Amino acid sequence: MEAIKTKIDLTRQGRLPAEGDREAVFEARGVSVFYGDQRAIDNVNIDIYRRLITAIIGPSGCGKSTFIRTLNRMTDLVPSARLTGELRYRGIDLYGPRVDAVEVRRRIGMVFQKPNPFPKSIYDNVAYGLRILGMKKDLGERVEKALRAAALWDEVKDRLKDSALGLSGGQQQRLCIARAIAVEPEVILLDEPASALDPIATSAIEDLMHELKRDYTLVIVTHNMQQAARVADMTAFFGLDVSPDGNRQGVLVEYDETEKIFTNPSDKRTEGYVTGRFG
Amino acid sequence: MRELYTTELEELESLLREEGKLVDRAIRGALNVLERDDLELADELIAFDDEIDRRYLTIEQRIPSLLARQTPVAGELRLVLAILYINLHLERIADYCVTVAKLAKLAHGLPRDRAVLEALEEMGERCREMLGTGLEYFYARDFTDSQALVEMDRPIDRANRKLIDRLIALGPDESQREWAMRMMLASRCLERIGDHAVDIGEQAAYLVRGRFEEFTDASHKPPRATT
Repeated sequence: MEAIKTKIDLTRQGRLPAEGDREAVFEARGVSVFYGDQRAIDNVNIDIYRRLITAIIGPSGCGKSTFIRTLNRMTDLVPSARLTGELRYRGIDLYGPRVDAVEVRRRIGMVFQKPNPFPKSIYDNVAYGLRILGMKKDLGERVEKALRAAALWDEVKDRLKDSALGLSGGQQQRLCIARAIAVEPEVILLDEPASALDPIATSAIEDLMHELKRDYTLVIVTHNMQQAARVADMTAFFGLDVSPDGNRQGVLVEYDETEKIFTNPSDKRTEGYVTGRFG
Repeated sequence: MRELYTTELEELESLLREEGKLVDRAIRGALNVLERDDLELADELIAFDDEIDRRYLTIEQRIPSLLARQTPVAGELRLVLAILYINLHLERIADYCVTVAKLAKLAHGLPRDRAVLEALEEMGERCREMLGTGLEYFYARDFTDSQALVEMDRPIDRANRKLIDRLIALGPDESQREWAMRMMLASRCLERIGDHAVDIGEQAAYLVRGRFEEFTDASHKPPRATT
């Protein structure tokens, strides 16, 4: 009998590129971060893949934010912070002596929990980074492109000269994403980008992330497990480890495809956390 | 909230256990109806299905609510899905028992054949055993011996084939033809019950292993056991 033709590929499991087809953008090997003598995260080994959304989940104090900040050298801004181990970005040692932290942050943008637009016009917020970096050619076009990519253009196109502070929280957050996108980064780091937003604005940000992954690699720290389950391709679970000397440090417990983490995690600690039994 | 959620999951499983026990009684009832050609018992068995349906419907209604409110994940998600499917299988088994009772009513008073009745009894007992094993895998979260269920299903299939041969042999005898045809359908019902029991075992395996696999496949030959 002739097989029934189907538009859906029945041989494919999940929606992700197969393991061998994933391209690692970040490669962390034995990465530990210290604040003074305190170890905040210990011995993290992880590959973060290009044009996928990777979620970092875990209980408070497990080093999620510390870890994401190491990815664009934001930890440099904390005087007592120190990193050991190796963190490569597209094969280059991110903490190598000749790497310019400002250039790193242009290529690897960041969006924070609380929308933090500058007290300037909507237009100037997006143009700000471009001007600083001397990307002044076709400025108006670049601003429009970034606002379109952040799904904000239609809402603000008639009031670009208005203050950004007059936008709603959700719009402000999308403006911050537009600002991050404007300088044409390769990676966007998002630290709890929707935790201060209502469900509709949250949904808009999640849809936007899904759109953005066509062109960017996204890493998101989130406390909202359902958000991780909804948006992320890969999920990393960080847990808290108490060493014999009483130091509490974050460790990477499990890292796998999101579907696996939420249907059949390998580690009991992950299962406990995602089901809410503890953590 | 966590406590309430745990209680709800436990209640679902308790309901399923109750349903499982009732379904076992229904199979036993169906076998008794066949054996004794008892009209009254047949009606009782048909009415008894309401008891099973009540549990089936309660589980069926509670699950969407639980999914919506508690969004279970990981092992708990698999547990809820396993309960959802096992519930469905139990309900189907109960319906087959009702069909057997109805067939027995239609065949009431017709001349019977001892060998056929014995084969049906044998098939039915095997079905009960399989259902018990499948459910036990689930309750114990243990599926180490998935082949045991498949092995148990083989005598059912064999008995079913033998029985059909016997029934065909009875066919030319007009006085027994109607009864034989009714029993052929009853035999088919019992055979299906065995298949549902295997499916229940598969759900237990899914719960423990985290991935779904069929123990047997209707369109391919099952792997021969090495003896």
